[in-house]
Amino acid sequence: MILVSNLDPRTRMGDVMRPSRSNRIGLFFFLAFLAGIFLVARATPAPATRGKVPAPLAGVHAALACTECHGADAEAVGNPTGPVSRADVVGRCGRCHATALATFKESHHATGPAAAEGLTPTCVSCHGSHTIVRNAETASPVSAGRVPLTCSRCHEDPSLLRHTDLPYSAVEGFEHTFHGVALAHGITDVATCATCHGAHDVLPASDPRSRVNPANLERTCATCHKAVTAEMLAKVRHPDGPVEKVSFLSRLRLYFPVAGAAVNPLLISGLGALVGFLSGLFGVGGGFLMTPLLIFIGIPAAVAAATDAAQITAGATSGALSHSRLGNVDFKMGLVIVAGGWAGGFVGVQLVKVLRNLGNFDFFLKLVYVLVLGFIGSTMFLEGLRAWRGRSGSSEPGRGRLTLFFSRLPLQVEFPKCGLRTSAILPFAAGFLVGVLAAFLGVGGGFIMLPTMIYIIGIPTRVAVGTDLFQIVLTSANVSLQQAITNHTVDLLLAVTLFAGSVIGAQFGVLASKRLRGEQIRLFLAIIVLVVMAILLYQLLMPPTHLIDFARTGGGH
Amino acid sequence: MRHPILFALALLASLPSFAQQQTVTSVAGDRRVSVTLTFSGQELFLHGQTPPGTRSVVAVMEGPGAGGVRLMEKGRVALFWMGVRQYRLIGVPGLYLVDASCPECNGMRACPHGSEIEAANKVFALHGFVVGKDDISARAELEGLSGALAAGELTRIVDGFWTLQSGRGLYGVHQNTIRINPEGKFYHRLTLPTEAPEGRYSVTTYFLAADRLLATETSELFVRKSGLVAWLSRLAERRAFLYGILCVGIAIAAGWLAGTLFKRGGGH
Repeated sequence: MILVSNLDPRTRMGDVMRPSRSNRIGLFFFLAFLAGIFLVARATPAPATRGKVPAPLAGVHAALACTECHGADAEAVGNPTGPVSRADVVGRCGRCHATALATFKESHHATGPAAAEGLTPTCVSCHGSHTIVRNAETASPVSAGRVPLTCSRCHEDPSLLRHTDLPYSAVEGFEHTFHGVALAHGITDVATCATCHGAHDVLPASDPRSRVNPANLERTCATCHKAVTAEMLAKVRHPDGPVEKVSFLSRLRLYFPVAGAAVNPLLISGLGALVGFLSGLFGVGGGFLMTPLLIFIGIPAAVAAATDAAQITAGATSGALSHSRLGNVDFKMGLVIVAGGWAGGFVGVQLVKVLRNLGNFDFFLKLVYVLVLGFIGSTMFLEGLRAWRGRSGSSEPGRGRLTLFFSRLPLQVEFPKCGLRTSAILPFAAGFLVGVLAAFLGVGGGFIMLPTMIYIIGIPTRVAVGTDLFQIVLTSANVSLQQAITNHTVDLLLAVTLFAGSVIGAQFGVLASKRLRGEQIRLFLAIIVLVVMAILLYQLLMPPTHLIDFARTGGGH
Repeated sequence: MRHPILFALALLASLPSFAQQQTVTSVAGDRRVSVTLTFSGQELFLHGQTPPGTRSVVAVMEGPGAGGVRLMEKGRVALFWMGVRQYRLIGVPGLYLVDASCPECNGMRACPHGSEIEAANKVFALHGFVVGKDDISARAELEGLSGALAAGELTRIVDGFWTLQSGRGLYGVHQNTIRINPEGKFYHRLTLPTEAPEGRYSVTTYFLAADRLLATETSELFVRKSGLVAWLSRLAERRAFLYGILCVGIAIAAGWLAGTLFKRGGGH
């Protein structure tokens, strides 16, 4: 054909018989095409004999005749209901393996919803067909070393899992367990899928007959481990498995880099919210409450104290902002107090250094703390109670002789928000004293500052709360900076997790403070101060759990 | 205002435990343990082939110590409990976990014997060392920060220190935890707690016949912070001032943001 079409009328006959160059290429392809057809035709068997070419029979069934399984009628083999078809194979194997058949018929592989859809395995899916060897041999797909792989052929196949409610990562999960890792290293005397779930009798864990049903689990573990401990049972877990019924939220963990501890972030935020609330309500930093709580949940003491300062900065900023909108912050007063507080803090830290070298100083500090708290707490409590009962009069405490004395000293300044005209020496001195005390005690001193502002300087309760928050922002920002530089103990992630709770808590605290009267706030603060004092006193009096303990190096130096 | 306190206590009580799901890492396969944001301890899988004639196996994992540890001893003075003495314990590892096999129970049942370490220590003593609490006592140096030391004080302090560290999962001796299978392979797991310090760890495995030490094998692994955890802690260590400014800045920004959001959302 090609030759003919290429004929040129002008060519001579002799030329026609000698193909041109392009004709030679065409001829080559034509012959190659024919050869290809021939080869393909040879490789494809006639339709009547099409089917899998069987591998030679080997293994435990090597002596069996083909007809034992396939029947005498070779034509029926490809038939969906014929011999060794999915519908037939289980019964056919069961003719010899009667016990296995009886067990398998009860199993989830035979009765589950996926079985009706034809998605579950039959004998040959796990054991193979023409080369079945004994289970103990490593070549067997159901030998200990290969069971997970065999199970994974269905249990990790996404196209199958889409149709069922099987756990998606059961086999993968197993590989990360102790048993799985051991198996991966060629140690075959550990439990694999079939050891716990069963083989022919596999059932879902929800079935009371299942070996992995929570009620039977202890017995199943005991087949290998003669003594089953609660810890062991707690460790039996499969991703997606029903064994460990603990909610996701309570299992949440976050590793805090500087603290070096993994704690539930929700717990941290919850503590932040609680302390933030108190901070917004009373204008206290809340360090006296937060630091021990953080230590209690496993944060190292030094990190707890330093990080606390950072979180107080956030909580106090949030609170101070709201109070300043309500007109409760006297910035001038706050700055004077802060100046005094910083000077006092500096002197206090130096004093602590000197005194610590003298001996058992920390103990006496605690004792002083208890006395100071006890005095402030009970005085405030009694005064608040009196004010609450006799509601008729002013809700603010009267000014004492000290206040009158200071109002005559030089450096008189007007504090309009406080409604005061007094000497700047008074707030500076008060700030200084609280600063010294705070450095001694290792806390911000907000709850000592507040009573000082109310009772000694004579600031109205609500303005005192707002102004105190303002000065706490500055003081705690300074403390966190110092801690970060000197001790490297501020954990930013921990602080941020705390903020998340505390800034919201602080807002609720401010809202609550609007609803409460001055004397009520003072009364509640008094109660909290007394509770803290009682806890400290208890710690001093009760025998400690460990007579040998880590010595806590005080912060702030 | 006690409601929030009750709330916090309820929150604390609602936590079942601090144990979190851990995956097992094979020390032989991977010599690095990465401490990331989701780190909550790590189970290490250790395994190997025992030399012929092995009757028992003892493995010691040691973690890096941080110079000295400051400890105090509390005592009762008048009515009050207070720290009466301070010490510095020098040369103690940051983590010290010992696993041992029991030839009779072989890791599969509650072991009533519990004296495998003592038997092993008799063999180790021939080579001039011991394993367990006595090892710590032998290596530790005690420095009294308040007054001179009395005889026998070291043992008492190490005892107390051991108890403290055991509580954190950092120290411990666990018998009948190593299994030797019929093929002569040994395997066990060691749990690296969350508080495990960063650094280089060593695992020394001793193979013992009834009365002599057959062989010793040592492997190493590194516990290292990685990702954001590493970045933040390095920043805190190396750029302390910058880190401090960052912390305070974020704190004030967070407080400001919350205050502003509440003002708009609260509608007052």
